[in-house]
Amino acid sequence: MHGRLKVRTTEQEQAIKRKEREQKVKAYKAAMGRIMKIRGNVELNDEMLILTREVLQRNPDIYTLWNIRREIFLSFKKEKSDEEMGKLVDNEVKLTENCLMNNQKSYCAWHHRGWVLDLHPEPKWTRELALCTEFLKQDERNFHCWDYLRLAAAKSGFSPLKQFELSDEKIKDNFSNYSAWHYRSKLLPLTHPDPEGNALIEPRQHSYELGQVESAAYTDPNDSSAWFYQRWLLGRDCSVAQRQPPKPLLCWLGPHKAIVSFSKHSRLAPQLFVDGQTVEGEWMMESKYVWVLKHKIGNVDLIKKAEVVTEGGRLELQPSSIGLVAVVAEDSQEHNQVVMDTLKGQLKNCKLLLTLTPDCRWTYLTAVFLMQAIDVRLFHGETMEFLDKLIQLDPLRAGHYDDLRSKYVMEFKLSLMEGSFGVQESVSLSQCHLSSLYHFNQLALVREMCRKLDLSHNCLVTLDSMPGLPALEWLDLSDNELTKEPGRVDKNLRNANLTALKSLSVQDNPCSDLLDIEDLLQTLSFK
Amino acid sequence: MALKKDVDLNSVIAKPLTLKVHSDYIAAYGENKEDYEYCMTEYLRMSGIYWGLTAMALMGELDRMNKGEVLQFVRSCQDPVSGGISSSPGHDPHLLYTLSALQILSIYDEKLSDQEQDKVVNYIKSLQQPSGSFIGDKWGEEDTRFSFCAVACLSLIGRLNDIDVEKATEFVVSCMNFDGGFGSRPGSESHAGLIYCCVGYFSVVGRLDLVDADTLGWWLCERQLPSALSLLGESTLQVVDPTYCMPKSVINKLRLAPQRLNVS
Repeated sequence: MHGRLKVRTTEQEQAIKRKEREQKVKAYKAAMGRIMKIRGNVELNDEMLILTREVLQRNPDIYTLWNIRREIFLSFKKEKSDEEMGKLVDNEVKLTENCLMNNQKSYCAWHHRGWVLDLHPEPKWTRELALCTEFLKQDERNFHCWDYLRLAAAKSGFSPLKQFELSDEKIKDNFSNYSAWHYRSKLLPLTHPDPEGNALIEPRQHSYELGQVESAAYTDPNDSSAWFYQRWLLGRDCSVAQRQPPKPLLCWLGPHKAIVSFSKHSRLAPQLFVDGQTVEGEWMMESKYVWVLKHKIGNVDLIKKAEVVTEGGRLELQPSSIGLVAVVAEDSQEHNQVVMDTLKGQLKNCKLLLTLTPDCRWTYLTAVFLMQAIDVRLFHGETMEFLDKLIQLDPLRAGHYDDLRSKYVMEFKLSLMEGSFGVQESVSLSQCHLSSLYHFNQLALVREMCRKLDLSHNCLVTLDSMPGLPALEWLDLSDNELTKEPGRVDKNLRNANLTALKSLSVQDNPCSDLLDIEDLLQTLSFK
Repeated sequence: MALKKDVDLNSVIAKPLTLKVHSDYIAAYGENKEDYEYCMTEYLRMSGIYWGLTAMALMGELDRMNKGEVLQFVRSCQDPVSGGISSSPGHDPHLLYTLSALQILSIYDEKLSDQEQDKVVNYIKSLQQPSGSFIGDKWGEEDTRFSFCAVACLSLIGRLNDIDVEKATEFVVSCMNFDGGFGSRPGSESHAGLIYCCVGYFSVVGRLDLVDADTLGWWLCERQLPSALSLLGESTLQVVDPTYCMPKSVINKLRLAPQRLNVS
């Protein structure tokens, strides 16, 4: 309709459109009727190819029509010469190209192109790479095209390093090309692995990548693409700790039970030795991080020496008032020294940038991630300050910043106590701005030992990640935001296995009036 | 990136949702079999019916749909050879439409016969690949969408253990990306639709612990645009492309912690 003078009334236009559509429906129905009728009739393959081509060029998503063409092509493969087959496939490839011109996001057309090219006696996959580059110029985020490019790269033996250079080009063209950053994250471990095997990426390249993100940030600090990539570079995936086997952080040996909690998911059961002898019993993986052993030793007071051996190291247990215990701190050094120097330099730049553009949320958030990657303890206060500022600047994502704060608070507390947090009878997390309960899963002993838990004056909405706390006698949840959604908090409390609970406070919560404490305590103790 | 694509909703948000008009439209849809839109969407009819029925069920108007005709249609689409279900009579069976068909039956609390059901299960089993992935039909397109379709189908009929769930899970995990999201195949970029499928996958097989909820939650809240703030209040979370809107209750079910998103 482009370029025509708008002289008709809407009604006239509608009538014309209706007529056009009626004709289209008629043509479509006639073609589909004929197609269904002659399907499988080999004699009429040529007619079938023409008919399905016509319909597919209008709508490449009619998957059955591509199937019909594939059936025909499979029969061609048996009877045609290489030369004929080559021509037929070239034409078919051309058809998909026409279809993709109309609809670049047709799953069917992209899939058929790859499928049929495999039937070519000499498939030119490098030509496909060129086509992808062309399509990406028109839409640099078309994920179908990126997927096809990966297929073509694999088929044509286009090396990861060359693909990496392509992602480089794309990022230099446009820093906010999220697809290219994504591609890089997949290629880097292949093209630039750490020769020492300590980290995911070779440290100098890791530093270089961080530099790339910084350049992107200076170009357009409000564009989020590079920031996701940066968070990945700073995160656990790329850290030194991630490459090492799960490390035992806390072990406890008590009557009839032993617990080992790990720094990360551990698939292998630990072994426990008392005075040089293996302790018999069945190890159970209680959660991703925690293994529990049920054993026959009823009295552990007389044990002089116990040791736990795991894939990630061994720990010696020492006698204490609550049984035998070993506690170590998690490594705070998450990155190689070369990377660490880069991080420190970037933090400096971030802070400088904040004096120039004091209201850029991305700079604050980056500073937070950098500080947490450098030193959890040293920067705790400043991290909290920056998160407050972020909540002011970006209220839309306040919930996310609250969660980050909850996580960092717990990590800070853990680092201070070097794990002894888990062996205390009374734990206070009052007034910590907690919106979620982080790391409780790793605190295996809280559930065995903790009699008193103070979570008052926080901003908890639910208790979804509340661990089982069978020893808990006293729980203060007052002054939180616990939801009045029917049954939610009840259910959380019931799931927490609070069989010893004697005192519970839920004052000053949206759900306060809905909970009958006496009744709840009674049902919990009978569970 | 996305921020530039936001819309100004001030002029339209005051209107209440016109449920009557919606349900009338859906109830009438398909009455005229010569209608252009109706004819041109024949290749996805089964899913279209499912979408229409869910909308009607949500509006409490399911009774207005012709149950007998729908059930008859579903049964007419099962391929007697492969056991798979197609979008329409004459079209080929595909996992996408097999799921829509089973969903339709669930809405009506109806079941296939034991024999038909066994055939569906065999069809789904035949599509699992050595990597654990699923292809959509015998022509080999591999995609995490189909992993979701497979487990959703099987869990609806209580036959999840008929496939290798562990291997299937391994494949979906291998599609996880640096932003916590998921793509269609290992190496593919994250995309909201595929993230829905993969998180849905983990939810169905009971392995949501494999999702990096913090990173993915951040990804999700960075997708929310300012216009979303001024919409409809508690019950809806709107993003500027309605395809990617998710009701709060869905996010809740996926345990993606809705408090991370600003929904009030």
